[in-house]
Amino acid sequence: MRYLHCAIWKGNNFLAGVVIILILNAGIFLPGLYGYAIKDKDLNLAWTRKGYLKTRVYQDAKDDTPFEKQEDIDARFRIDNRIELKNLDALLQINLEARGEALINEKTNKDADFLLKEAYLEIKKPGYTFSFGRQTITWGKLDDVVILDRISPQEYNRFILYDKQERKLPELMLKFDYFLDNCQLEGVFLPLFKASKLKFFGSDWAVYDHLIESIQYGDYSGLVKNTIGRIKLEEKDRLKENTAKNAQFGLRLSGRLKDVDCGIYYMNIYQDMPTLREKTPVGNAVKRFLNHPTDENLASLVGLNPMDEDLTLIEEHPRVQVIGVDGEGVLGNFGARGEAGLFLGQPYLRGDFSYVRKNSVSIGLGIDHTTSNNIYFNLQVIQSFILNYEPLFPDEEYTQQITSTLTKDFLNGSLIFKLKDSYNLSYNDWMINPKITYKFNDGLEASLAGFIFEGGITTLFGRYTNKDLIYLEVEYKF
Amino acid sequence: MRKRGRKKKGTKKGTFLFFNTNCFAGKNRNVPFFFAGKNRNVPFFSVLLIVLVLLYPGLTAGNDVLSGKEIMESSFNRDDGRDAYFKIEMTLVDKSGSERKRSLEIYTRDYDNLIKTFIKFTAPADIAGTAFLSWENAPGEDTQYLYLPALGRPRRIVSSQKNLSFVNTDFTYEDMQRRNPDKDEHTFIREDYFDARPCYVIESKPKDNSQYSRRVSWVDKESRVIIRIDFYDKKGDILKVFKVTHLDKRDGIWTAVRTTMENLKEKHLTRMRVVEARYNQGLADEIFTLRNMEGQ
Repeated sequence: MRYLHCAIWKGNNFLAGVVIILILNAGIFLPGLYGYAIKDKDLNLAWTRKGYLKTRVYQDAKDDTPFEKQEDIDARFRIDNRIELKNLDALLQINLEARGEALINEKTNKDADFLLKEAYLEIKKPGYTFSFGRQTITWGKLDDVVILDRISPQEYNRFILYDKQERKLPELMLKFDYFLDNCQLEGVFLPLFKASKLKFFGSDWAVYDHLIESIQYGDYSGLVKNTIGRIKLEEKDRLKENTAKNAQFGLRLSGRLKDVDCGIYYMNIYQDMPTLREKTPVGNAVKRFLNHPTDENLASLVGLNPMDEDLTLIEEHPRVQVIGVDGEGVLGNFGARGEAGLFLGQPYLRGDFSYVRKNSVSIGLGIDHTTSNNIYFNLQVIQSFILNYEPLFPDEEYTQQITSTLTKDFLNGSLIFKLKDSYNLSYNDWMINPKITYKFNDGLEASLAGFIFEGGITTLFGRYTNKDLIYLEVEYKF
Repeated sequence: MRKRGRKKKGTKKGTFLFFNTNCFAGKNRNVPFFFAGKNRNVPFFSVLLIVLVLLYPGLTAGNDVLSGKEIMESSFNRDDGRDAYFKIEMTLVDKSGSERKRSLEIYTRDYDNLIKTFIKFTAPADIAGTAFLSWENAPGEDTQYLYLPALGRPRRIVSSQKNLSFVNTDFTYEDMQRRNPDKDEHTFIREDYFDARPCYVIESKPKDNSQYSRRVSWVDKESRVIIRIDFYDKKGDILKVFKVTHLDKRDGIWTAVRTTMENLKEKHLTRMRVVEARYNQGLADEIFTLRNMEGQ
């Protein structure tokens, strides 16, 4: 979904998007454009800008598919405008982004996007703050993990190659903060629903990779190609409507209890990640094939002689209630944090791939520490369990996940080494992400990094086993 | 080392004159023992003068009655405003001489037993938006938070690890705090000059678990600002030197306008220049809150 679709530039030129953004930011010829603060004495206005130009060049470790070449370029230009209207106790934030991608194929494909990101007005008064517009929000206490941080949807078009905060998508919301002496009540109201962006087909990072294309271009019979070619995903019609029925809300009460920062949450939201729901019972055979693309399952599906309705799956976003708590404090020389959530009405797939909803609990604990040699490590453990369990695909009743981050800088912070990894103990799949960054002066930095994924084909990381990659990133911040 | 209470001959002429018993020949022979001399006939007004001097040490120049601790307390308790705002340019210089510049703003406010400090970096771009919030609790451990834009939320950090470098500068978290004189054993060493300013030189040894074995401080007599500190590591070797290279009054309050912190072992230097300083502005309590960090 594009927030600001500029058809003139579509598929055309990333640099054109950059130029548009610069022009919208009061001209490219003004001196000191980047990071320039304008102060207007009459309005008591302070306008500051900052942003970045970031380019990544990816190189896949394996040439595993004829549908995408191993090289891939991703460029992003972003500019954030912060306009403080001090006489009105107000803040206007407008952030713009231009993106360009080049997926190198037999025919080099380019795409450019011009996006309005965050755009909101905030009013700050003694005792309360009110903001309305397109915003993102960060809840919970754990890093790079989603337990309670569920209000803002995320972009998974490149899976987790970008950090959680970079993946977040702003959406229209009304946010209200009321400050009491020792605590704060925060409420968010989202009148519309926006799903997380996730591709199911047609991309290296799609859930089902290039499966449809591999059948269409493979050595299969016409009947098979016709059947698979008619597999279709539909968004749930009702959720595309801009009505109050699609509204969501969340509440957080936070404060300090004996040197522990803690919070209590309640959310009534739609599941941002889609679960595929069948329209007819034959749809379960479709899902069985998509998740286990064996010849046997293919033959079984084709043998059912499915109609179009059978081959249509709905991207279901059920409404979920979340009740949660979090806390953060210090234990000796360690930072400690945790969060827990009870999720009512989470969607799952049964063993026969039919759609079902169940309640579940997730608990996460984390500690971090910096050694005397300035090595920072952060360890988090997440335990989840599904209530009233029955055989599900692929979820087990009890699951455990460990994430860790190790960071060490050299040359007084100019050279930074970072290692992130995530291991799902229950499914034996894991991911590792090493990154070396060198910071030059004046906002320029260059990084060399990689991702390694391992595990079974139906697991979160294992499905991307053949997508190990390295990338070079150059970023200029201003 | 000169003993406390003894006056060095020739340095304080005024006091020498008052205590020269030869000047005060008179009828009253009841002279305290420390004024005993050839002539015991000290007039009444001389005794009165002596009493006045003892009651009002400011009448005499010099460290006649102040101990090391008292000097450090006078520095700690000097007028530095109920609240303060600083805009600072920081330069980090490595051993090859290459420099990195940073800009930051510091807000600080006294709340009786609590001092709150909010620091935010405004430049360069890769660090802009990073913020640090500290509530220095007098009886207990401090409460500290760090906000990194990449995290999207303030993170609680461990305040007990005060030996860690503050955002890669030569200042550690311990250096960033105002150190209560009760935390150290202070010894007056001597009077000296630093940068042509007369100073008291005090050695301080920590009672608590500090990263330093001792600190030697030069306390400016006029302003009571500490204008130089030599930091010694656990082995007793000199580790870092802090210097105030320009001292001036802003809003009537003595301010260390230019300072340097040099790490002699790492051969690294941090220079700070106060571009703007404002005191007693009535800084809002809201500045020192987590929500203000998130607003960066």
